[in-house]
Amino acid sequence: MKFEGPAASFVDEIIICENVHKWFDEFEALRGVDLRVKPGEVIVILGPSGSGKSTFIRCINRLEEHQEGRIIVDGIELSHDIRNIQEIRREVGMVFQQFNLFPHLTVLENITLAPINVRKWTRDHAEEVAMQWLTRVGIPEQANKYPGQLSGGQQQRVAMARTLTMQPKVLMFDEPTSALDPEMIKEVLDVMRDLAHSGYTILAVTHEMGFAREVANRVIFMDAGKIVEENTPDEFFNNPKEERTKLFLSQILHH
Amino acid sequence: MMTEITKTTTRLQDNIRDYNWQYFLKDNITGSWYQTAWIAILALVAALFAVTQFNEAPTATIAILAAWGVGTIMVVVGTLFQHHTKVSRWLKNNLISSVSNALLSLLMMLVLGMAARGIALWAFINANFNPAETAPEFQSQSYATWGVIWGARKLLMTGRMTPEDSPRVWLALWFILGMWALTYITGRPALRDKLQRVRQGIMGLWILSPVILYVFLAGIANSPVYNIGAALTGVVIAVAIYALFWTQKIIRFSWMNLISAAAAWPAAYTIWWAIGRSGILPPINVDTWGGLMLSLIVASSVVILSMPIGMMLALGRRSEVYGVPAWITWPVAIGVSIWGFTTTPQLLADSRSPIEQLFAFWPIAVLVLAYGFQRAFKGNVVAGASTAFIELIRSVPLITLLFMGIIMAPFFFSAGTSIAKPWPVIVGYTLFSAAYTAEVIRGGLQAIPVGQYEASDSLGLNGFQKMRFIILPQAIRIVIPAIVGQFIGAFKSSSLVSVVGLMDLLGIIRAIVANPQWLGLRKELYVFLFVVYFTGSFVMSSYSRRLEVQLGVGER
Amino acid sequence: MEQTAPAPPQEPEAISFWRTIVNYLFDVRFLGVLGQIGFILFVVLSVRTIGGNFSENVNKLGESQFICRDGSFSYRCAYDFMESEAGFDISDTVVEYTNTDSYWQAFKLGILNTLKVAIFGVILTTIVGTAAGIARLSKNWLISQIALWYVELMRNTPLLVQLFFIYFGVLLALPNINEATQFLGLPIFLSNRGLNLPSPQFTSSAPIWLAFLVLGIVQFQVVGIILNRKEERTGQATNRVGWGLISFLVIVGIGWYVSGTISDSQGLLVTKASRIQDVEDMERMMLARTGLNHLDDLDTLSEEEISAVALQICVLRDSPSETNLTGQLRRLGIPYEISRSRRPDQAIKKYEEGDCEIFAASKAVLAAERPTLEDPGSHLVVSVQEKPVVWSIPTREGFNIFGGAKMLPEFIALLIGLVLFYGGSLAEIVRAGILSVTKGQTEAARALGLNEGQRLQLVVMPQALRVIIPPLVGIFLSLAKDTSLGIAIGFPDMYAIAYTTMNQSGRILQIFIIMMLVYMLISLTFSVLLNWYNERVKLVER
Repeated sequence: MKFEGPAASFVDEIIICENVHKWFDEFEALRGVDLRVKPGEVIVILGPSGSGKSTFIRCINRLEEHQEGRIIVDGIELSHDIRNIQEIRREVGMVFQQFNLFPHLTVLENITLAPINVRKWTRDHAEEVAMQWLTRVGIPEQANKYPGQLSGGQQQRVAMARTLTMQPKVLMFDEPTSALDPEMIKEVLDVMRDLAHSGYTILAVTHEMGFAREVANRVIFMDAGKIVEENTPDEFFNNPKEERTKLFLSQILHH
Repeated sequence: MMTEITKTTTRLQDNIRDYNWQYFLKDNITGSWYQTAWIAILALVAALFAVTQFNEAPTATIAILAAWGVGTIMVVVGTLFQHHTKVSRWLKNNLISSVSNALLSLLMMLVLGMAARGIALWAFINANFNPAETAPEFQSQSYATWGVIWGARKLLMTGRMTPEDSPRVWLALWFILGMWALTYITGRPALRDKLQRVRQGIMGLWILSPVILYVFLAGIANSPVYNIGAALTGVVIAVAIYALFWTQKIIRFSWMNLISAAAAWPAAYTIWWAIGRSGILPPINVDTWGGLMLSLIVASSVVILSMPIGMMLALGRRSEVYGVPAWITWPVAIGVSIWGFTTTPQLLADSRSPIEQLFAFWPIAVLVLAYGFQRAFKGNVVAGASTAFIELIRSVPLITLLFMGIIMAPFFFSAGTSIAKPWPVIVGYTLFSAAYTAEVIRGGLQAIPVGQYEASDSLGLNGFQKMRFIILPQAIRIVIPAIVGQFIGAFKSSSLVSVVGLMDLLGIIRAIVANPQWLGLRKELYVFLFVVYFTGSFVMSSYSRRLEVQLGVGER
Repeated sequence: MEQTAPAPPQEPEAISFWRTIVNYLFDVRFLGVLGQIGFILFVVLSVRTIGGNFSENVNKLGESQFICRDGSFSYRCAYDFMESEAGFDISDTVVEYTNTDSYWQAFKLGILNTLKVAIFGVILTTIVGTAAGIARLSKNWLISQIALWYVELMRNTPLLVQLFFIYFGVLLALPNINEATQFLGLPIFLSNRGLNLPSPQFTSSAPIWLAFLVLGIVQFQVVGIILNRKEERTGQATNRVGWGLISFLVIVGIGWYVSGTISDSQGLLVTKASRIQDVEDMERMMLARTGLNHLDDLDTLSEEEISAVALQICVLRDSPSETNLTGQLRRLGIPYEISRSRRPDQAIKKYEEGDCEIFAASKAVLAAERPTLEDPGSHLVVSVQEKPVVWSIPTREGFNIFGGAKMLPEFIALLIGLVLFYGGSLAEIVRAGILSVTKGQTEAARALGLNEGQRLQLVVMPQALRVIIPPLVGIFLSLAKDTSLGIAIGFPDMYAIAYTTMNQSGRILQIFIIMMLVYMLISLTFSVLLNWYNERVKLVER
């Protein structure tokens, strides 16, 4: 089977974030985040709740608006320019904690809606690619069902297929396993691992330490709107530099 | 046999002996002084009522008392035997669970029984159903004269339409019934998939049906001139809309579609003009519309028209586009108010009362308005205007808007133009209804999780696509039951148009009771009205409940 | 936007001027403002298209309508006509009104009438709706079924039809006033001219008593606070409500006595020849007139004889003096006949002509009227002890009914119609509210050992009210707006009066503007109250 793999990119660094600040009214959620991601890198972002990690990746495709600093994705600066916003959203795929499938559309319609309307593919082509992805995430037989008829794990895999069919250059995962029952986490993690190994650029916010250890190129630890530590997974888990990281790891690992 | 009875008796005796009468008394009667008083009052009232009713209708009273007595005995026996039949258990749970409940049930039975008897006597047993005997000399307070309903059927149904127009009403009626029948038949599971195209055709016909019904019931005027300008303007507008949709990526470009979109309007206009020219369906005086027909016309046009307006208002109120920034609003407001304050001294000098003195300081209101606008709407004019419109309309009674329609209509036309009364009433009513529909739809939009917006954004769908494919389909599905509720409300409230002089069901009834032939037969007609409205609303609300269940299928 | 880091290498080094301009064109903020301007233009243009004729017509109208008192034309004078004579009668008057009063007066009366219906309606709807809502949940099947069908009937038929049915079908079909139905012998009369029922009337000493009443309420609170402190100090429960009530009643009782004694503003105008110095003197006079030893013996006399000796009293119509005096006369058992006049000068004329021996009114009126008599010196003004509040009882006299409060059939029909209709809606809300309190809450309350009363008061009601109040306010608002339906059955609410004014004066726009303002004010008040309530009861949530 032929897959349309990750779209090629001709830049050295696909995501550049410089000094990103974000306020919710008075509360400063991001306090100057800097991050550079190379194509094909897999980055896992960890941190306690409320540390701004979700806000950060939501800023990258403009679900939240950052107020200071700059974000450049695939050479396009994320500004108020509506063309850039649309362009970046097309190139950055996002998978949500709550799946956010469209309940009134079938699985296939869910997946093909955006390619047909945004990428201007023909319906046949879109359905063909959609079926390939559904097969790859392991649920081709569910194509004509409604999301409500699927289990949580299946729904999340559909959401991934929906994102991947758009052929994004960057994949972002926002705690994709947190809303799942324990026995369904594995099926989703398997797909994520598979994607990581096929060369996708991935930014994942997750609490799955195993995943981070196994596939991440880099682990980023955020706290209070800042990046506290940036390290390779081995170093991060076995030999953290910062006190805050040690505390976090001890709380996560010994409970 | 003998032993059977003895056994039963012994068991009964045992049960009675074992039954804790003290608890029974404490639970039911002597628990507290107000319980005792309550029981005593209930018993007294029930007894008094029974005695009064006995004098009036002995048989019915005895029947009710007997039924109650049998029921009570069944429950008592069942309780003592500790064995309930189906009936006695139901009675015990629902009517005779305690002494006070038993008395209350008796009282209610007596009241209901007597009311039912009175109604039956008035409405059926003594009633006069002869349509010929409706004049005042045949009437009486003690029975109903139902003949009026058959006698005045034409007025009740269509109002004062002339007899030569009645075929047109029948035409409209058969058209609607035919459409229903077709929809029903083609919607059967056996045919549903085979007749996909036919169903689409019927759907299109439904969308056109308001126009068709208008042509049937109001007719088309014969205009000698074919207005080529209007036809061409239509083409331009259609092409413009097509272009807008195409650029917004809602529809795909195809020459076929473009040509049909462009040709639709001139074609429709030509057909319209040709029908008018041929004189098959000459205009009918719309002011003669009346009765149930007018009620339905008003209700349905209001609901149909208020849907799109309400949707636009709802989207407007929720719109989150970037507003006019404060650095534009404030200088403008301050500039205006500085200019305004130059007029203040003159106004103060001219003022004749404290209120006018207050008005001289109007620039302050401009500043307050600017502040409120920035604060509440972040400079979003669309949201501000929609909210203001909705809240303004919702704060006044419907009847004001109906009168406004009637009274203000002449202001909007050049002097001497006469407008048929139903139109301005429908316009006023539509404005009213649109504000409420907007709130209903807004509720639907709010019910959609924010994740749906985020998911569509992250997939790169633009604003139009997001609304068209994701948000509105779900919101509409949520609000359909509420919209049916709106329709019921519009159907009921359409009776208000009688206050402004339209001859709807209620209005025509007021005319009928003034007619010497049916003079003063108010009660009969009002009861008829109650039945019509009750049945209509009840059927629709049951349908809406079924719809709610149906729409739930496949969703979650 | 602040730029703290050097530009990344992908960025083109220099952006041309035109490019910057084009980039701004696509800026979402710019597009937003552009859209706003487009919207404003659209609205302005469409208003101009539709309103072109409108402004022209208004201008034309203005020449005849915006006329000042001096005859000149100015927009400022748009409302001057409201000061001219209204010229129409209003059947239901809360405050004094005649058709020579101004349009403003008429309009004010209309607002008062609207408020009257709305306030009574809100109170009664709350009672009816709550009762029906609880009845819906009754364990007695018959009662819950009756409540269900009541709700269904109200919900599925139009309010206006119900109003017509109640007004034309029921109230106007009642007997004439001379055959008015009386309930169980109570002084309540129902006829096709409305309902007459006893009403309290405040005499001139009422303000003093009301001051005592307020004092009593304060005292109630004070006692509550004191006992609360004591409870906290000693840990012993006290009957706070009981003691509070006792102190309240004591103060109110003292007030009743004091206000009756110190106030001296009710009086009788009598001739010196009658030798009446006090109400008690009338007893003596009556005994002298009849030659009896005791007033109880009056029973032995025939009706003609009694009416021959009865005291002839002149009063002003609807004045508390009448109620006050007749109450005392009835207590003493003195027969009397009343003759009512609309104005004091009419009453004094009757008195002078000898139609009546006594003129009872407030002392201020009597003092003002006495000098108009031919020989003022031979007429006395005698004080009558008064109670702060007297009950005016309707009585049948000839073909009419006097005294008490009178409700016109239009008012009753509108009130009953609104109450029944909105009671039905309220019943559903109350039911939903009570059902919304989950079973777990009830169980938790029981588990804590609260009794039934405490459970309802402390756990169920506060939670149910949270659900009930917001739609309840909506219902009250609709009720207030629907008082405008009164026009259909001839009740003179604000809307009906505005409509009459509009027809009479032709000032359509002006009237519409005030009317809208008043309705907006009412609804604004309601929503402010609702918001305040919502703020107060909002559950603290994350």
